[in-house]
Amino acid sequence: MSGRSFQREWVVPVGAAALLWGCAFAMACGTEGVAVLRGPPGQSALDRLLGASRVAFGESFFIQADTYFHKGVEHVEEVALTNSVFVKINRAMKPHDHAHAAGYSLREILPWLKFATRMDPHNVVAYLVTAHWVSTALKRPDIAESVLLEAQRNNPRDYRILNERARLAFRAHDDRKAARLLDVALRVWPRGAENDEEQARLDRSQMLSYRAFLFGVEGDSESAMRYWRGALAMNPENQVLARRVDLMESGVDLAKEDRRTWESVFGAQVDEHDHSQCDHDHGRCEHEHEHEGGDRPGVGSSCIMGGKH
Amino acid sequence: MNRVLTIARIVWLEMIRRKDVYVLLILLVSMLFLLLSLNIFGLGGVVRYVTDVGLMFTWLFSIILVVNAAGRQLPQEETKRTIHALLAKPVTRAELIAGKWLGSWTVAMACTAIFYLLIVLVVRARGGSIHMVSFAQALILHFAALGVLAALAIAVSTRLTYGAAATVAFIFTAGSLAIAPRVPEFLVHEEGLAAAGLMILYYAMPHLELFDLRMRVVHDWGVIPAGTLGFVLAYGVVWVLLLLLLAWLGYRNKRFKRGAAG
Repeated sequence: MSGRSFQREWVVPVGAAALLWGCAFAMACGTEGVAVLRGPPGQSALDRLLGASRVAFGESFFIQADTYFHKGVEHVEEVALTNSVFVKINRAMKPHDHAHAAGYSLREILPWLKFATRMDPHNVVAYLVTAHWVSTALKRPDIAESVLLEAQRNNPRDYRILNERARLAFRAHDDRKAARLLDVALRVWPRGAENDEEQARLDRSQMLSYRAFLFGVEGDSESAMRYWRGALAMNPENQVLARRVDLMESGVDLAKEDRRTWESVFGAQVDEHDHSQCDHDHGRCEHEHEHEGGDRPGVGSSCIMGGKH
Repeated sequence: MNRVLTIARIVWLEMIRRKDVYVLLILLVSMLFLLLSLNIFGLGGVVRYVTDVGLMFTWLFSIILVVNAAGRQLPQEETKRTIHALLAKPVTRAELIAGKWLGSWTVAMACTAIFYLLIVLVVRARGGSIHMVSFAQALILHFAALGVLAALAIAVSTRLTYGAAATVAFIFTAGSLAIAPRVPEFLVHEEGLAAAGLMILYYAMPHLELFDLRMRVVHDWGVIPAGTLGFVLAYGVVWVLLLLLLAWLGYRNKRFKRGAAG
């Protein structure tokens, strides 16, 4: 190929490229900083990519965490065929005993809980479950606190997160922090929810109980009495609460006992119950709860969520 | 037998030349490294999810590989018109089908073994452990599943083009893995014709979920009894023979047009 023909071959493409570049440069100079790709505040790349299906993904990751908690055994649905040869072989090959992960192996559920919260930052239950297992089974309240702070950033007005942070403060023996968090949680608790949601009602009763307890520890009997009555009003079936209110109304001073309880019970962090082999139905956790907050509220009935004692 | 092995060897050479295997291997490596790079609250020793997701992608990639490899064989021979030369030699159609199946299956097995090895290395590097005997059982059953899928793809490709055969095979596989195992649940809410249809599906489709031991390996439930393993392998062999028989029946009288694209 001669030099001249080589130059002729390249003139047109190079010229066209230069012209296009010039046009693009001119257009760029003429535009203002229009944020074409930036969406409304709070819309991340995942939001734009997956949209509402993020919630479905988050839920499926949470279910996977529950499966991991049950050591690979999925929840059994009702089936019509029980004696088919394939069902029998499946039972022989797939794990089906009811068992829970315990101790060190509990950390294996954390990746799925993390994925669940990444996918759906408004899945408060996933955050609460993560914080619960990290603080109790793995003995890392610092990580639990950071998880709850992240939950709070994504869900600023959810009382459940503040309540859980208050529990962490209880376990850390930080009564002032616990009191402050409970006060905020009670303020943001949704008014009127007691008519529609039993769990919300029980949560309020528990928060009022804990706050009343702290008032008692501080020696503020009047506030304690007011809050205990409020807790009973939210949960009138609770006999322990009713007995307590009766005792206090009859003039019995429970402040010393409360202080002893504060020192001994709320300092304890060990989950005494062995969940590694459960031989009873976990449709609802059946373990007795003697403290005056009533049933363990906050996160529902399945085992991965109701393990706190 | 020599002719079958020769045809299988040609399938191997073709697969080595193609990029499918390397692409899938790179994808799996990327996926595993992505999982390893995740920081799970700064806690170390968390590897079960790596094993789980790694095995899930291994199944997915091996299914893609075997269906594409097997489904391509016969239509490709027809498209390139090499089928005439092949059958002009003393190679029977049964030997052709058997050789194509054997080649596709063994290539898929080799790649799957490499994927499994990769998972073991990654888990060990992360400080985790895998029960090697149950892992080996899972691998053997995975091989059996691949044999069934290769035979399925070969069977449908005797009468369909490569694209159609692969599509049908993928749909059949998805149905076997996702729908057939759940028919007992669906039957609770169905009756009459719908229930009858579900029962037919339940017994007519291969139960590929029987070959899937991932949960057992991931959650360390130990080995399965040798009798159960043997039964499931025998089930796989029966399906392979049945599908290859269907392939031969569909292919033995097929006429190939000279000059027409397959």
